[in-house]
Amino acid sequence: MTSSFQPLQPGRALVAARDMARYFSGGPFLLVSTRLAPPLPPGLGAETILVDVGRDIRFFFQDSVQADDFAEAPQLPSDLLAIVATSAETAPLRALWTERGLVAPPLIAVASLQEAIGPIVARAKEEIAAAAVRHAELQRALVATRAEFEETRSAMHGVMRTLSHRYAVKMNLVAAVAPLPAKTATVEALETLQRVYPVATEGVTCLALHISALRTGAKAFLRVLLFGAESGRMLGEWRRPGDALCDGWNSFDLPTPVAAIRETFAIAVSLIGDSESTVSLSLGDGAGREGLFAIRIWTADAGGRFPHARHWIWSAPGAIRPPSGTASLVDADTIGRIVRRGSIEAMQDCVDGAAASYRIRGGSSLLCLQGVSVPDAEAICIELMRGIGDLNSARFNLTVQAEGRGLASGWRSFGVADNTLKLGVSLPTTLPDTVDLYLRIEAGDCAASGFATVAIRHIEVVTGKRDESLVDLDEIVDPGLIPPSPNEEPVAVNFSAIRASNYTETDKYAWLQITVDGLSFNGRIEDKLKFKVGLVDGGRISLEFRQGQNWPRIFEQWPGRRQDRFGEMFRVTRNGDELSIAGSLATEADKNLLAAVCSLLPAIVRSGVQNVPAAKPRLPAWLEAAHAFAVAARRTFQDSAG
Amino acid sequence: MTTVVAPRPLQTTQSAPALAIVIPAFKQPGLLSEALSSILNQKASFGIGAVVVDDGCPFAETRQTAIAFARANPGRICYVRTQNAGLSAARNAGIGLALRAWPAVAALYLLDADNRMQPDFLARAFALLEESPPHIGWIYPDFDMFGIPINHSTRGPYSVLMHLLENYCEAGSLIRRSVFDAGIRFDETMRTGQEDWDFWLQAATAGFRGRHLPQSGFQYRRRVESMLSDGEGLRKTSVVQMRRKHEALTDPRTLRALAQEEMPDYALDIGDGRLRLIADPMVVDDGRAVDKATAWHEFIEAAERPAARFFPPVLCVADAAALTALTVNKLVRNVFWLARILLRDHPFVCVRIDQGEPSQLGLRVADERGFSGASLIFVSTRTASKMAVSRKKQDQDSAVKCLYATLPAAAVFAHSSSGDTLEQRFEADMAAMAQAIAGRAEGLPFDWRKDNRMQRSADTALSTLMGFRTLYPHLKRDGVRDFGVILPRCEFGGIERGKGNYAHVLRARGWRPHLFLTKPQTAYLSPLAFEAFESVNFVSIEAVEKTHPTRQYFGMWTSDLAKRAEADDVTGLLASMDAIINNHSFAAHAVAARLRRLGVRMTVGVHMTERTPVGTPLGTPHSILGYEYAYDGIIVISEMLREWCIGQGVPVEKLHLVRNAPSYPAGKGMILRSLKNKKRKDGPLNVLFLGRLDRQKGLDRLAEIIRRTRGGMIAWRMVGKSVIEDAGVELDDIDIGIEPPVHTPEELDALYEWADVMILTSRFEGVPLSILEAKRAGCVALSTDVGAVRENIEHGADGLIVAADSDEETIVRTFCEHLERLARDRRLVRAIGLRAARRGRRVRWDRNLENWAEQLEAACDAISRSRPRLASLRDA
Repeated sequence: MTSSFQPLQPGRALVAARDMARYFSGGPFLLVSTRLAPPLPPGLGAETILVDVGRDIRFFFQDSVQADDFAEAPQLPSDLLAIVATSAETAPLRALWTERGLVAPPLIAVASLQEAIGPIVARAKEEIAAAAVRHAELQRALVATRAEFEETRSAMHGVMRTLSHRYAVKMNLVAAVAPLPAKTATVEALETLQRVYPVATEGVTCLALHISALRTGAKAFLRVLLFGAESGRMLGEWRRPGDALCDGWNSFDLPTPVAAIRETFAIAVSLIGDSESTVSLSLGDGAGREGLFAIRIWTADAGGRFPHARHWIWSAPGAIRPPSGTASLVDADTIGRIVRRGSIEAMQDCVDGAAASYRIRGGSSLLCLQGVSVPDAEAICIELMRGIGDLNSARFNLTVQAEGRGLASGWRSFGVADNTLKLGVSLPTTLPDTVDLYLRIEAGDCAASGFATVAIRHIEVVTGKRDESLVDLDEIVDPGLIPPSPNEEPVAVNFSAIRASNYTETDKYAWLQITVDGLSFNGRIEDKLKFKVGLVDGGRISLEFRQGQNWPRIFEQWPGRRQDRFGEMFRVTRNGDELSIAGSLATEADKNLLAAVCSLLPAIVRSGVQNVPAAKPRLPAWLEAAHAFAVAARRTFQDSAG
Repeated sequence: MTTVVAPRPLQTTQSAPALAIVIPAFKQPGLLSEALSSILNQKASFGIGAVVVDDGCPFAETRQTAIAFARANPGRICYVRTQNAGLSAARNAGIGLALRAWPAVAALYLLDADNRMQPDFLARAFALLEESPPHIGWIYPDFDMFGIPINHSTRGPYSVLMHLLENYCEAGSLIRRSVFDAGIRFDETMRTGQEDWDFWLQAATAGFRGRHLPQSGFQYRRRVESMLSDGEGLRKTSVVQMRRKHEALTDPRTLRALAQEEMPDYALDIGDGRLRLIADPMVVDDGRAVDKATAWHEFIEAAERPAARFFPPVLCVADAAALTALTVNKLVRNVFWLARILLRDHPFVCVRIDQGEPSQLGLRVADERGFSGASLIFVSTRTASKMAVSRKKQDQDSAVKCLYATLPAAAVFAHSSSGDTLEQRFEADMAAMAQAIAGRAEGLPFDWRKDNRMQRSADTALSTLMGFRTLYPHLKRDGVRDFGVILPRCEFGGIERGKGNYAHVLRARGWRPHLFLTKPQTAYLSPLAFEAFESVNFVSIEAVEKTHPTRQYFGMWTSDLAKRAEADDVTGLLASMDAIINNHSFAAHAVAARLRRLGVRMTVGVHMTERTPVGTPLGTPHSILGYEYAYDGIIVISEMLREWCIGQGVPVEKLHLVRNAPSYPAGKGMILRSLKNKKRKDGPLNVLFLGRLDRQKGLDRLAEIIRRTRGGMIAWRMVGKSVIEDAGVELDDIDIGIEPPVHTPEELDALYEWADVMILTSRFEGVPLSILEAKRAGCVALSTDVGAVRENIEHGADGLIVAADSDEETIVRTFCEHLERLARDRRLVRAIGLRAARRGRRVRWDRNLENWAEQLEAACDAISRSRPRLASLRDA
């Protein structure tokens, strides 16, 4: 073997090139002089590097003894248990390391391999002992780390519970890709479409996708995955049944804003459950990014918002369940589905800060909200607010029931000095994950003052373990026993703020510029609307929309046909019992938006006029006109729908 | 749309690594395990190996951690300990080991021990590298920092030029094996930072380029103190040192070429529905042509993220026919260059075209209103985007800067008549940009990461790296040298005609000559010069030739330009030349040293020593003395001037004697016809004065000589034009009609054919070309002994010389005596004329310039050889 080798340069360390990686990985190795071996003892072959100390020093594994590709070693093997060599070889071997500025591994100088077994075992024991010490050290470190994590997690749960019971912070619209007419991507069964948006995932609290066409069977679900593009980490999943999807914008809430995960926002959309279904998602103007879904993405500060996220899948990978006791708020869309029975009317102009407002005139009435999803919830609460009128004698009772079983809060009334009343029901384990809520109202003497108003501020679903001891023996509500309310129509419109400005008034007209933030209706959320409301011709309301600089884009397709010196405008006025629309609303989404604005007009006018001192003296005239306008709008859009 | 790599199930492959990771480890033992874990978590369909290089870390924990991973992952993770030698050496050690341990490795990734990767990162980076052409040498991520959470974007096309200004490629990049096979390694002497930057620049020099990986998944640990922070402290000095290492990249020619390739200055719309992104308007089809929708998209991206995207800073909407006319008439580059300068202070520049006299070219700047009648309209794209954002519209009558380009009368062209007018096209482009901006504002953010890099701007880069701006829109051509002739003005003077011949000769030798005029806004070019010059350029910067109010060098004015910002523009104009000859321009003196440092071979020409009105010698030779150091060579046209320069301390080796020659080739048969004409035995002696009518020419003497000799024996013709308003009044009462100047060879030949004698009564001269042309035609040149006339006339043999140091009466009398003698003795006229013609025919520019041109070419070759060239893998 040595005879076939012709050294190229004196004093070099050579290794078989084919084994290069082996020398540096999978140790520890013994370095054994060829003068002591072979043969190596059984079992030592793979763990032993043979060294032939000559003019050059050659390293090789036993199975590479015939290697013909020896080359200078870039480095020396670095995971050696010991070097076993004859005493004559120790000096040149030690020099190999010291000349490279390294400390040589322990050297065992022996005359035979048999003689080395004792020292090798001792060395191995040392190594095992050192590894054990290190292992124990790391275990202790792990304990300390785990303790800190547990404390942090507990503290975070406390913070989340506390934050969840506070009012939600305002959402920030961070991306808005408007739908382009006639540009869609169709999701078919078993197909997944992915898109990446140049938006950070941190803080994302809600997204909305725009559906242009739906063909979904009863078993179809639209599955939306939110993940970080860099890591592929799942940040959320929704499975929304086909019958809960609508044309236009469909919003998807996260239970709480995405925590500090700074990655790029990516979604994957697929259809599951029904091979015949299709959903056409609108594509948007992504400024050169072809094929982006029309989308809206909102963020909020961490822990700033805890909506009761509909169709959210808690079991999705990466989705962490909220701590027990976290309250999530039922969204405005769901509240909009409340059905009234008895002598109770829905008010279009909500009490400030409320999700829905009602006018009661005495007697019994009932508010019904069916099909509320409550997996992992231990309680449901409803918070009521006083409006105008005398509610002191009114009583309220919240019942949660399903499948013929139910539990009630018991009858409660507003305290004399209290402005709010909170009713809660702990959920028994016997109730399924979807329940119906009934708020029974006995109005008592409020009829004496004509009417009173009461508002639902919010409905909370509180997470936690259900109490097995609870018994669902309460009286079951049968909504059929109470006759339907007149003008039955769910209150489906909500907003977060209204601002009024630029009031102008002459003998003939008065105009007010209105900005509405966070208008939500039909699953759609409009971050900002701006338009003008006028009181013209001695008592008719006129709405004026504009497009151009400083006017947010509201309509998918601009409906207006007129222009004046300020640019393009679109006006809607009341003409008798119907609206006169000076333009054409080309899309269903645009019709819905205008209908929502019109239905909100009494609230808009009340809020706006009250905040403008110059306009306040004419508030009654404004309100009367706004109500008339809202009624005409309802008729117009109903006719249109019919 | 970006499609991400879909999450895949974890694959723990044991196949031979196709990708190797090198981790230098030093004093970060606790974090090393995170880095190693992130390697083991990589989801990839190919094998991944890793080498931990323990750079002599004093902490045993580094060894323990690395060994634990290496023992647990045999064949996948290697551990090697080296003597501490710094980050570069540790990386190199790992690179060397990895390449040899895993010969099949196609790419290496450098992971610092405190950083980490998301599981899909390497698969994504490797896929991008594999789909990229071979010149893409590395794939670099954004800076996604954790610890102190900061996210910096590095997106956009890779730019070598911007990479020279700042390092935006993280060491944690995936590097193609061929980069290492090219011998590129980390500089182990760099231990204070910038070694990554240096590495990339080495790779760029070798022809490799980087490519950005969006949404990479690389995570950079940002601590309060990091190597990066430390590096910032020493940045200034280490960056300067590092750039100095990369001569091939920082060579001015390379930088110019990079600027033109990566950041062309102009987006040109000639009405065919596309935009051409060009660096040189003479070769409009050389640039990238994009449809307008794509162009506006790029414009928006550049407006929103100027550090990530580039869009030309100037949009030019041009009438195609007008553009061609400007090109054919050599002015197009000048127009584009000047428009760029004017756009700094003015939102719009338009170009209108005038018809001038034959041989006339001009370019003047004026304030106008509106674009009516414009042939080209320029707008800064930054202005356009600002206007779009503010939704301002261009007022039809708003003030604009207008460039009036004067083309020779013959260059008549018709504006392109098809489709929209130029104004309509311009407005449509502006509207499209505004619409693009408006649409963009409501859409998506460009990127959620911040981009703190410098804006992509060739001007910024060239200004930082080379100290000039406003690059002349001129694409160099391989193997072709460019020669700049700088003159204050160009009419039909001897110097201009001489330099036209320089251009002509050099063009025949394969150069591209360019004419730069510093003073006037109009010029007249002889047909020979017009053919010879590839471009004609009016510097048109206000007061560019202004002299310093007080600073004089031995009483001679000096330039005021050097410390003004305009000097950067003038340098940008001239820096693409390989060689320049300056003739009498103070502005050029001011930038000569800078140009020389940029690799331009600088020569200055001196022609004659003038006299002040009080008789003091003063002139352009004096002006060069203060700038002698800035020139590689000085061309003198006479032995006399050469000696004068030596006497003034100019190094002899810098002096080149290039004698003048006739300014144009004689017409066919002209010399024979002329000599034959001079054989006639009767009739008056035909005496010709040909030249500018100014005092230098001794017009008072001439008038007196005419008065005394006029009669049957002598016929006079006077041809010329006064260049100063009242010059020539001395000739008012001699009653000889002064003929207008002539410029064409045919007209000049006709004059010389007619003349028996060509008279020159000058008080000072250099080497008048008219003497050389007259001699060639067999005329008797009769001149005062001024300048280097004696070097070109042998008295009594091929001409006659009158001593200039006598009193005026003696001079006039001597002239008269010579004329009367010649009129009487026509054999003498023929004899002198014949000798003159024989000698004159041998005097040619190509011969006179040959030595100097050869030396110049050798010097340029030496400059080229001394500067390493940037390799181009793409070309390969």
